[in-house]
Order: sequence, then C-alpha cells, then structure tokens
Amino acid sequence: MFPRLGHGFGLRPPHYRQVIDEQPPIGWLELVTENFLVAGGPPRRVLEAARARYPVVLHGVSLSIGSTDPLDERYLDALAGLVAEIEPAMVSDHLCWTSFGGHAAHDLWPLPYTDESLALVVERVARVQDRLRRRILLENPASYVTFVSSRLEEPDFLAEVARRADCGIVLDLGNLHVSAANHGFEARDYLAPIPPERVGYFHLAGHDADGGLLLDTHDAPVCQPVLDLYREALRRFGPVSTLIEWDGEIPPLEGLIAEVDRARAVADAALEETASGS
Amino acid sequence: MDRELERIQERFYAMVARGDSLAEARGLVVGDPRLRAETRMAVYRRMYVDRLVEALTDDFPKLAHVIGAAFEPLLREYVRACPPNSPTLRDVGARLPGFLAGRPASPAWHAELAALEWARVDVFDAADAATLAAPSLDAMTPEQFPGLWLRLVPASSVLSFGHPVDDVWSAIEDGVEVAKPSRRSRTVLVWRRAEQVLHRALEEDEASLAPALQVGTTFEAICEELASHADPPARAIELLLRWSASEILRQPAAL
Repeated sequence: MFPRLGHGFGLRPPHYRQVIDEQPPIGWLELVTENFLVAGGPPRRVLEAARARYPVVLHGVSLSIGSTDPLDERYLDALAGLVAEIEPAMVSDHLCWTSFGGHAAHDLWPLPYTDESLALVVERVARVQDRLRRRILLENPASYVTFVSSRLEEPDFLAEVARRADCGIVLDLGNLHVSAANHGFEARDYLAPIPPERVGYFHLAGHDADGGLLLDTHDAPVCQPVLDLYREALRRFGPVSTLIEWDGEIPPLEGLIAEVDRARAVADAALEETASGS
Repeated sequence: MDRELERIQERFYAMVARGDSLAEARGLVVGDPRLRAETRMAVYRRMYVDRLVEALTDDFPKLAHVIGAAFEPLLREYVRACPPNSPTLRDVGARLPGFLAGRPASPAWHAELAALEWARVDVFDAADAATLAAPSLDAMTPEQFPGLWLRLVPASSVLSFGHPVDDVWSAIEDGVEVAKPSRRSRTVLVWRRAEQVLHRALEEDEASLAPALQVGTTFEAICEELASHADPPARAIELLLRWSASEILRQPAAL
C-alpha cells in the first residue's frame, strides 16, 4: 500500500543548503508541509531541489483532522496545489486537532476517543483524500492527557479510522514511548491492534522529561527503549520506511546521518533475525 | 447530532489559550495520584504560549532587543489579544505591528520597527519574478524607453514611517548603542534579492515614485514625476540603473 523508502530524516532549515549540495546517502526526506505553503523564495527553491534529489514526504501539522471547526478550505486548496506540484511519495499529518473557533493552536491537541470523534475523523479524512486524490497517513500523537469520555483505546481508534477511511498510519515510536510513560501503559501492547498493511512509515525521535511527564521535544538522540520498540515494530510490520525526526538542538548533518545509520543497523539486525526465524 | 466533542474542545481551548481556570480540567481529563488533571492540562497551556513566543522572538529580534525583559510579557499580551488565525506559524506575527500601534503604552516607533521586521519576514517567501537586468536595458533603443513598463518585484514592500527605524535596525545589527529615534519621516524599501532580504531608505524623489512603481508605471511617467529636477531624464536613468542593479524591478513582458 505504501512505498518502501528505506531510512531518512526530517529536513530542517539548518541543513537545507548542505543536504542539497552534498546529497548524503539516505533514502528519503520528510519536509514540514506548512514551511512550503508559500508563494516563492528560498523555501520553494529548497523544496524543488530536495524533490529533484530524493523521494519527499510532506508531513503537515495544521490539517486539524479532529477539530469540530470546518475543514480549512484555503489550507486544503494550498495543500492540494503543493501535492500536485511536488508529487510526494506520501502525505501525512496527525491524529489530533489544532484549531478551534477559527483560531490556530500551532500545537497538536489530543482527541477523546469516542464514537462521535471516530465518525468525525473518518468523514474528514475521506473529504481530504478526495480533495488530494490520494491516501493520507495519520500519526499517533504524544499526549499528556486522556479524556474521561474516551470509550476506545488509542490504537483501536487509530486502526478503526484507518480501516473505515482507507488511510494510512505513521507509527511514531517516540510518541508511543512518551504516551506510554505518561499514561502508564505498555508501549508494546499498542502495536497489536495496528493493521500492518496500514503502516506507511515509522518516526523515531528523542524526547525530554519535565515534572513527571515525558515530552516529545524531538531534540535528542533516540533512546534505547525506543530503539527496542523499533525492533519489535520491525518484527511485526516488516521493513517499513523509517524517519529520524530531530527538530530542536539540531546536530550537525554528520550527527543526523549517524542517527539514521544507527536506526538502519537496528533494522538490518532485526529483519535478519526475523528472516532466520530467531 | 451529538455536540459533546465541540463542548470538550471549547473547554480545552478556553483553558489552554484563553487562560480559563485549570480547575475546569477535572471531569474533562483523567487525573491520577501521580499527576492531577490540572497539572496535565498545564503542559498544553505552557507549550501553546511558549511555541508562539518562540516564533515571535525569532521574527522580531530587533524589537526584542529594544524592549528587553518586557518583550516576553508583551508577546503574551499580544497572543491573548490576537490569537493566531492562520494555519501557518509563519503568520503569527502579522498583526503585531498593528497591535503595538494601537497600544497606548507602546511608543509609535516600536510599532514601526515591528512593521519593518515583519516586512522582512513577509518578502522572504514572496513570489519569485524575473528581474529587469542591465543587459535588457543595454539592448533597448531610445524609442523604447518612454513606454518601458516599470513595476516592483512581488518580493518587495514600501513602508512609510514617522521615525528612522531603519537606523535603529542597523545600529542593533552593528552592535552599536541604540538611542530613541527622533521624529523624522522615512520611506523604506524592503526587497528580496536571491536568498537575501534587504532594505534601504528611499531618497525623497524615489519615495514619491514608489506608489506608481508598486502598481506599475512607464519610464515616461517617471520623467514627468521628476519634472522639478534639473534634468528629469538623467535623474530617471540614474534611478533606473540603480533599481536595475538592485534587482527590484520586474522584467517587462515586452522585453
């Protein structure tokens, strides 16, 4: 259902020029959609140059698929135009809401997992996919709250959205680790309900801790528990495309490539073990 | 139709973005002996404000310099008064100049400095356009000049100020002590050339030509506007060459 792109990283401004000039040996790049919904200038040139050199995935933060506000038609039009122009390998956003009353949150707010929110998300995903003429993928969020009104567990909700809306899933293993710690569940248990054919790619990222909670800051190396979770996910879902996300305290490009290599080594070992039946 | 989700989102938004009491979190989100509901909600409130303040600080570094320690409280006041209405974080500062202009406690030149900084953000990713370059001018016959269509590139902005805030900007950039600017009219052109955003003060006759250049005008009309000059065509040519070298004019379709 989704292309196998190997291992890549999220391209961020400190590395724009160097990645375009040096073309490091990675499988693909993920770019934040909203950074390129502009009329022109250096950002669009970066996007075009990156696309000419690598498969690109557009990863958005403002689709607000779970909001009770109407879908933002101007945003959808801009996104559709960008998708038609760039022809990304995949288009993704988050299972969350990011707007209310016409105001943007610029944060990824969690949903209660109810029948009402399930129906709303499924309907909106269908409309977005019709508009973009392709499947989208939704990423599991890192969260700090769960809602009293929730009837479903998050992985069951996400799986049901994917099944009913015929969309994909970005399985963010860093977010999963954070949410599991914050809500006291076993991260591995999250994997079982997720349909393997719906997983388009994995995110791996670092995190921070503050006041008894883990925070998905994406500003550190991937920790060992997340790599262990990654190994488990590979055994279950196979050689799914994998992306290193690093959004803050960004290291030099060599450091980011080393993190990709680290993930690739884990994947190679895990898949070899699976193939040998061990 | 069940509107429970809307009610939940309204309460969540009110606590996080409007500052409603976090006690409202009880009954909405799950708390436990480790972390109360209010503590969990507080994370979202803090992240909401911090993200916006960080973006605004990145876009208005010179304003941050002149306002100092009071800048972050000012930004929090701005975010509360003008909650973001664009899905793009890049746009969060668009209304800050207007907010400052309408704020009695803020001196007028703060709003003007903010307007200059915002214009620099705005032109950075404005639409591209081919520019009128010297070879095109060199290839023109004298008969072509009167009808030569001149218009500023899309990635440009002309700003009129009551204070020389471009001098303030330069002083901060150069690490020189910044003095409160005296009142003095100034017209500033902001534009993008290749990957760089630039700005400069316009001379008086350039400033008078700016409105026409923004919508498009002819070389002949420029000469007429410069009628009070000792040698209008010579001055027009001088300006044309300067503008061409700066890459601020669009390449006319006819050339």
